[in-house]
Amino acid sequence: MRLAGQKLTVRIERRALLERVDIEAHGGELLGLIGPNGAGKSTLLRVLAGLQAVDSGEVACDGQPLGRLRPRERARRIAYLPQDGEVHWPLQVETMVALGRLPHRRVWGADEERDRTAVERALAAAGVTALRHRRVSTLSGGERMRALLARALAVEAPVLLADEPVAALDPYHQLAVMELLHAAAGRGAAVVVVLHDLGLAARFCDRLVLLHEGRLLAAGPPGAVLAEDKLRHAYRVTSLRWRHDGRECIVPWQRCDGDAAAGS
Amino acid sequence: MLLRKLSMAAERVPPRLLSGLLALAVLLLLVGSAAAGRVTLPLLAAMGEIAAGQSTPGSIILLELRLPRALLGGLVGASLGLAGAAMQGLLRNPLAEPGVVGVSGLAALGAVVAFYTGLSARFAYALPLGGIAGAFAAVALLYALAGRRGGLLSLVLAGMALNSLAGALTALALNLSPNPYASFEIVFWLMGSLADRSLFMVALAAPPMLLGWLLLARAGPALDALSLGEDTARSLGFDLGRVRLRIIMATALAVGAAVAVAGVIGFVGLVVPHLLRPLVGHRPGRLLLPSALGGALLVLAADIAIRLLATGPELKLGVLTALLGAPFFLWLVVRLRGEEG
Repeated sequence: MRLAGQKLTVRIERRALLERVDIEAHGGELLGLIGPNGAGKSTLLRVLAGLQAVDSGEVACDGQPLGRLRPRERARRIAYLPQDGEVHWPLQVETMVALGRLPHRRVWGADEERDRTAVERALAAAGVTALRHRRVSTLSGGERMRALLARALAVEAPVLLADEPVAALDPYHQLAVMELLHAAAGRGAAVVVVLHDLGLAARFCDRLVLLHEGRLLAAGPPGAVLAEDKLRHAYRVTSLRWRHDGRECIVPWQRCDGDAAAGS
Repeated sequence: MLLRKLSMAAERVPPRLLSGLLALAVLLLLVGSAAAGRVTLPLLAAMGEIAAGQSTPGSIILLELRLPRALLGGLVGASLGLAGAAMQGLLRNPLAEPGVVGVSGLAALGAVVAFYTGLSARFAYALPLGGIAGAFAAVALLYALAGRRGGLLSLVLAGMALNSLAGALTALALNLSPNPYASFEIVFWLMGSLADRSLFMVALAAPPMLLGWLLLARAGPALDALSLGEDTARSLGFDLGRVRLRIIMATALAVGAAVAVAGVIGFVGLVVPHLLRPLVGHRPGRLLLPSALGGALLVLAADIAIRLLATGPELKLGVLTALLGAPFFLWLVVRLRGEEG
């Protein structure tokens, strides 16, 4: 599976949210989408999911343009987990996760064996099997995110897009969710995740895409993308870095623009 | 704790069993509605007389009074229950109800206009069409004002605005009425009732209602998906533009036609889905059929009750549902406010 966007441009009232961005995600790979607030990460993810129209450019799934796929067919190929993760009714976890099977089911169809086993797999993969009868509204932040992730996993799509799934979680659950996404990639899915935490991005992602003001600033392995000069340019911060177990470790350290100088 | 356990257990009621039981109860009440009244009809005898083509008091009462009343009760109740459940699913808001948020009010205005302009005298279908047009405008406006994010407050405010608008324009129509009897008639009709309706009225209202039901019959999965928000629903393969239009059209058809023949019967679409929601695991899609049946049940029961209650002039159906529904609405608002914090 290969999801590729070429020269993606999105403008709103003539302001460019994305400007000729190229991106590629491959099966078996965890791709991190990073960049400062307002860089266009979420917009790019929504474009990849087929939820946001582009002014120019094209996203193709295994060579087929997304726009030509029927919505249902697209839904079977691309699972999307939005940032806010709203759940409007007091649904049980199990019921909510089963909604991920909607792209595979007929309007009047009953639960099929295939759907039930997919839901079981998703519950187990996200570690929420024990919570299956709890209401989503009663879960803690970490549990809730894992349950929402299980919903996305239940689609069993070859592409999984997740928008800031760890933003509001404690370190334990951040690691748990990242491991989950990593495992999904390990099972062959192309996983694209929007991240703010550079440390997690460096630790878990196979490749990174760095956006800045709607443009692609860098793409490649974490070590190359998280280079000091690029972080200074995009995030206006310096960073501490070292290597551990052959992995890049990184902690943002100090602001390095006019404000920071005036403050010190 | 016990209550929570009970409600969890209730979610395992098989959907077919629930709908089957409700359907059975509706059938019983349809028969009851045909039998109940100032004179209790020997139903079988009257039906035999109709079949034999005899014109006896019994057959006339059944055919011209009771049958239309029972049928309309079922049709109107099902339409209101179904519309309530569909609107709540679309707007992701448990307070969305045709009467509460002004859809019935604007439908009534549409029907009043059709009546007023004399259109309905020349062309009988103008009445339900007026109602449907009013309802359509209301649901579309409501969605535009409060549909995107599904906030409780914005929906209630939008509903208030629509209700005031409908109230003001209806009052204007009554005010300008050249004929006091006509306005008197309209006021009574607005209160909502199934009394003294003919089979012709049933024939007038049934087609748009059935069309609305049909449009909603396939909306279940989309409503389920919408409980995860619009982006997720779209990512699950639903064309939201079409879903929205279909549900708005369907609601308008059902509510507009119901209001045009029966006036404003409020709160059915609020109470029924709310009571049944736990029994279907809170899934908005699964709620549609039980809500339709439950709505029919409630309206038929209420309509039988007002015939059995010995109030001087017969209580209007809409007055009874409002008396029961308004406190329920109040309680729901208080509870939801608590949940929102």
